[in-house]
Amino acid sequence: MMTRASGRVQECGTREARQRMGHARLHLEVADLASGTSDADLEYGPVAASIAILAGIAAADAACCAALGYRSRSENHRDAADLLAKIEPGGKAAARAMRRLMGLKDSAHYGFLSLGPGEFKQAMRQATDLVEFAEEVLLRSQ
Amino acid sequence: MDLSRPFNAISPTVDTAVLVALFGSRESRSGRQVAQSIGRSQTGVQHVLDRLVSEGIVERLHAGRANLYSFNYDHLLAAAVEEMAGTRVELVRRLREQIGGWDSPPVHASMFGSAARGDGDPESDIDVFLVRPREVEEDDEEWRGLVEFLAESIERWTGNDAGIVEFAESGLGKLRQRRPPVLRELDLDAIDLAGTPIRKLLAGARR
Repeated sequence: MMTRASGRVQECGTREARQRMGHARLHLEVADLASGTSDADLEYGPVAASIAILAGIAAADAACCAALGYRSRSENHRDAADLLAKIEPGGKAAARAMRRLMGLKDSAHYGFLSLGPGEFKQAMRQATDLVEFAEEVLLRSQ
Repeated sequence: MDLSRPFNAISPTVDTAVLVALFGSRESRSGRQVAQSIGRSQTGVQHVLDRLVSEGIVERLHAGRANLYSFNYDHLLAAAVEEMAGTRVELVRRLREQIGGWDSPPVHASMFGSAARGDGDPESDIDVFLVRPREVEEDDEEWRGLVEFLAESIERWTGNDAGIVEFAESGLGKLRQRRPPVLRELDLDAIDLAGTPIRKLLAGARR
């Protein structure tokens, strides 16, 4: 048996990794497009940031499926960060990006923070890092 | 070179396949799991694992009656395995570097097909989708030189033929209307190398 992180996990492989990678890229591009049409009065920023967060989650799934053969199914997205940390090379930095992204998500969800342009930029940066990381993991996987 | 197993070009052995399979995570795996992941017999893989443990590049963990194995990232030869496991990462890096340096940059460039998916064989072409800018004629000497040098470079780097699909920016509208099957392939697996990302470029082709 494999040694696994705590939390619920689901087995997955290359096919799922490619599917989730496609979702991650699409979400990131839609977030970017939404930000391009952003207008402070129309408040597209929070929506774009939410889509960037979904891109990060999909990228984390893709990387875990390709490198570990399973992904997190836990309600707590921080469990996904723990899985990312097991990937080499670069897993620890990806886990940090995931934790920051989830921090933004939680703050927005509970209303502690409204996702303004600064938070959107941060979400896009973390999500882009995660998508690039997942792309490399897929390129390394057999 | 077989881009699904590029290390076979220099070391077509079970030993290398085992090392590359263990590389990529800090996960511990049983001998059976490693054998399954590379499609080899458990007995053969077990002999290889025992040898690699004695060389120190693989670590053995006792879990009850079972043995679990993981890659030792501190080993002096870990970087050599990383190079082999990262062959496609390096190919994408070189393609981006070369195309990124063009004086006439393409509207878009991406790698697609088996090289992007990693499921080819030693005879597979390395497919690149290139969109030529509106202002550059098809027979523009400089452009042709850049494309030819790209094809030569790919062949030098990999030993595989380059399959360069060149498309004019002015024809993108028609391509979106016709939606040939290759668009689905590009949409699913293409890896952006330069210019407008493929999914944004083809956005008008989706329904």
